[in-house]
Amino acid sequence: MADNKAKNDSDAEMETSMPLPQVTESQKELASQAMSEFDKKQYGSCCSLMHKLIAQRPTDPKVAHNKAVAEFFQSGFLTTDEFRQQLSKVCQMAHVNIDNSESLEDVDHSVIYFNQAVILYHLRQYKAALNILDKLFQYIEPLEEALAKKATMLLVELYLCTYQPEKAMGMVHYAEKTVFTAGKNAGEKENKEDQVDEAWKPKISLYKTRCLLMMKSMKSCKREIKSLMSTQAMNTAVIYLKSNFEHLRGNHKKAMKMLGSVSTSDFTEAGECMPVMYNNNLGCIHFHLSKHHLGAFHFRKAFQENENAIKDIKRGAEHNKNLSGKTLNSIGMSRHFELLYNMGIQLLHCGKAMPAFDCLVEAVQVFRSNPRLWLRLAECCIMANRQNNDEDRKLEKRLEVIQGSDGSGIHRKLRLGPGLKKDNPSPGTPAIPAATHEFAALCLKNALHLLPEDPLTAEKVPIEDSDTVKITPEMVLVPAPPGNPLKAAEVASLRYLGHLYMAEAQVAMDKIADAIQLLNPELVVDISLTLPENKTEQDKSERDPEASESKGYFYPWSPKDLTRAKAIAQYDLATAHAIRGEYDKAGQNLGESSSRIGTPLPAQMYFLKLYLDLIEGRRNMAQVVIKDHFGHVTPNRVEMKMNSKPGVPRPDTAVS
Amino acid sequence: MALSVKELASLLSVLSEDTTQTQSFESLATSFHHYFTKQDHFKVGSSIVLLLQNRDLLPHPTQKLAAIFLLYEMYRTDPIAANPFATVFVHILNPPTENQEAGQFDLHWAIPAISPAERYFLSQLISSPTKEMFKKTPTQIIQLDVSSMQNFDVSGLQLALAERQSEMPAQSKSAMPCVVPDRDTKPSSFDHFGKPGVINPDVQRQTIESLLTGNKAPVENCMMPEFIRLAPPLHIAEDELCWMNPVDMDYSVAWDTTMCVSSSAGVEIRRLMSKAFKGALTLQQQQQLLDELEKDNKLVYHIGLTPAKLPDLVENNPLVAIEVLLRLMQSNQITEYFSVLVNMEMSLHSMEVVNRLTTAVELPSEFIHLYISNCISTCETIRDRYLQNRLVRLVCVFLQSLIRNKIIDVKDIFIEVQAFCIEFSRIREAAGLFRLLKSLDSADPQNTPTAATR
Repeated sequence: MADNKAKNDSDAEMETSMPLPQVTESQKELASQAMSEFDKKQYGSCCSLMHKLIAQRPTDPKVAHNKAVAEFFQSGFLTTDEFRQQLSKVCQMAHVNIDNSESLEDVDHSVIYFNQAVILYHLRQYKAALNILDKLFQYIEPLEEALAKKATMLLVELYLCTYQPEKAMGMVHYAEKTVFTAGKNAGEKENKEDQVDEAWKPKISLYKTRCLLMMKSMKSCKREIKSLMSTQAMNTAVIYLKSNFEHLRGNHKKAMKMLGSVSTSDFTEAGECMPVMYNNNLGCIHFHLSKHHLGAFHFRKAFQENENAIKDIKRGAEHNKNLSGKTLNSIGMSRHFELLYNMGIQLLHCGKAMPAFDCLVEAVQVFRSNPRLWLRLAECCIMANRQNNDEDRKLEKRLEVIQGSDGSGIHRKLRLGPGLKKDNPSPGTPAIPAATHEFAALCLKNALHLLPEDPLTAEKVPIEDSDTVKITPEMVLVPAPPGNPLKAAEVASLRYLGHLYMAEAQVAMDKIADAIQLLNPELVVDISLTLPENKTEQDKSERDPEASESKGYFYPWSPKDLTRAKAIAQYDLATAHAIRGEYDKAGQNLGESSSRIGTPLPAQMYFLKLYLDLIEGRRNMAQVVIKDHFGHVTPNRVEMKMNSKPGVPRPDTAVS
Repeated sequence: MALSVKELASLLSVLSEDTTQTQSFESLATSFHHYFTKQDHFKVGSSIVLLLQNRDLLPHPTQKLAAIFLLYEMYRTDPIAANPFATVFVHILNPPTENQEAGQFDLHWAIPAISPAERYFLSQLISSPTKEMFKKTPTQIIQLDVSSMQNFDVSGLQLALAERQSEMPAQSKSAMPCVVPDRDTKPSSFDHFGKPGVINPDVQRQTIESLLTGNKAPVENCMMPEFIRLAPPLHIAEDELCWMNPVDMDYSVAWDTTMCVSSSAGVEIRRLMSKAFKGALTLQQQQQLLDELEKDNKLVYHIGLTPAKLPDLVENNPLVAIEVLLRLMQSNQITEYFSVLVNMEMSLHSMEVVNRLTTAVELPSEFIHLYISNCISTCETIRDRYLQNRLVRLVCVFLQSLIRNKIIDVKDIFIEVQAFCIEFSRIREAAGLFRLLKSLDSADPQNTPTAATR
């Protein structure tokens, strides 16, 4: 051994540089005792054995590692910080650089990798955890079997957490074939292996169900859930999955019933707060039933439950700083940001743009790489500036057409409004979140930028100080819509809007002829906004016929029908003609549009009508409109005789 | 943009009926400049235009003429075409009332027509002003008999302005003033009974003030045709909300079961491996290593061989490399090792390893092709002539062996290898390889792509 040592010392750069002293029989005995105490969950005695062992083998990283593990268990998982420190010391001893190595160099280090990933998982740093486990997975074959099982399961979980259900499913299949196969090592172990396999079956089935739900393959999912329900119908996780399944199929009542069948008064084994989940899921269901205010109520309740749960834990943790003091499971328990997200979307659908904006702006600080969230933020900004498209028809908007009068007698003047549009650039830079169109544009740019990319690589959240790790769940809350982000029905209405926007832009660029072509109301053929009943999912045929609680736009949008949509296009056409000075055509289109656009008319129509009359000097026609619709601003009746007498001097020429 | 009350008072004092009747243009200009600086000019000009559009607000002809003059005077030092109010002059000289018909025209946005004398004055002003003009009073100008005088030609200026206007988008030219006269046909106070259409100076002053001063004064606004800009519908959120399912798993920290169970073989073999990366092992050492690997199937994963270290092992101990790679065939990382192997610098040893591997296991053909391409391009780019000859020989022998052993299908690499042979035809082995290719080619003409071109 001395010979070896000398040789190894000369190889300074070798990673196995420090040779460990030979393991003596008594040390071996100590180690196996410690392990059996650990297996028996006798962490106290395990710890004392490990203390003896470390005294004898102070340079053995494995001993140091297991000592840290034993102490962590002994503390009831309250000393996460200390454990992390111990773990990094072990890494130093074993010359392992987990973050920067390209792959695991030695299977001996696999436990260190795994434990590091476990901690990161609980800190909800899923991306980092995945990175480490991916490295470990390259060496899955030689791994000791219990560890291999744990590692594959955690890998599946992480893929699910990062919304990569296909990868997760692939891993489940792999695990089924290899890690959990009975009798992989032939011989007398076979029987025992079979038992283990059986024990893991329900877990694997749960994972599969989650993957299938996330992939929306409802048929396979139904089968999986059926078998789950037949064996463990009382399991909360199973019931929630079933409820999720029914919810996705549109059987919202059933989903609600399932949720209600579970007692909701406690924490799960994994440290999750059931009342939070219960209320959150009820919120989701009500959202889909378009009962937005009820939905918001449940989200708010979930929020409160979450706050309470955190408060309880914090109170327990007050004496310790940082992460320690909370159990490992409860560190990542808070669902604050997910709830904010749900709440934000819900409020948006309640038409409450500003509160929604506040929720989402907070959520986006955590879910920075989620394109949909950016899209929703932009929607908040738009809604804050335009509540809905019917607001043009409101009285208060119409009152802006003529803002009042000045002077009296011969000097009486009417004061026309400048229009409804408030295109004033907002003060400040768009980079500061505010519900402005400029910020909306920024959000949409972000969304667009994130869309084609793999949501996982989109942004790296810097991990600040490794000692005082903040909990930064780097997860993507919802998947970037793959392939077809828009529903077919959505496309129809967006094409229509695209034409309108394009036309307006072309007018601004003085390409009015092009705009006029685009605005041809006959081109508007479809703005259907409700999803057809046998709708868009890949597995249409699999939808239950009874699952017909209709899905569609969860928020009303106008124009509601084709006639009105056409009329709006025609109004815009009239505007384009007016701008080009083609007042006759403008007047004709305006007239036709006004008869179809529905009452009350949008305020813009009064503007255009007055504009056309006044620009061509039809003062009396204008007076008819003013007297009929804005009678409060003028005392003057329409002098009909003026129309019939050509050549009459204008009323105000008498002045000069 | 609006005037302050004080500014308005100053402007109205310059434009008062008395002043405009008695003072010369010159002194009007002087008192105007006394009150206003260059920065004020645009907003004052805008106010003047609004006053001009409303005949009741500048009722007297001298006031009107003085107002028009001020529009000129403010920008006198600039070329006339650069005067922002130049279009107003054109508008006044070509009043839109000409295409009037049926008398129902009442253009509230137009500036009322001016007399021939005023016309004469304005066109002289904007084409060839003289000093004497400014010495006259507005009253004198209005009384001027211009019927016999020659008009000044302003068509050039008009053309230039029209051209500039045509460059502007139609939208920017579509605006209309917000202020529309709506004179009360009924008397508004007892004073006015029986005196319809008579100007009340107080009311006039009030009206002007409310139009030109204050926050959001009408003078700041205009009205133009406006699109209905629809907000888009909210994106359909079908599965967007975050549903929460309990995780029925306890992901907990693991115990290292391999503690203190490592064998001495592991330590020794790792020591040997680290030597093997640096230099050739003795035959005895090699044998020891291979024996230990033979004993324990999983040991190969514990010897510290990462793909990055493979090239060192290949160069120093090709035999060990081959054995280790064969044992790693079950590893899911084996493709990593392969890709390192085929991309490493070409050498006798790497070739030997690849060659041995091809005979022992079925390598993915894309790896072999990649390796061959690598070899060929290494031969082609190497500078050292002697080394090149050596490498070419090696590659040729290697390829012959691959072909003879039917490891590769000649068809797949025919063109590439043929070009290689031709390039190095000076080397005997290359010629030999070429002959081998030819013989295969003629033996199986249908299957060789180049057969037809020959």
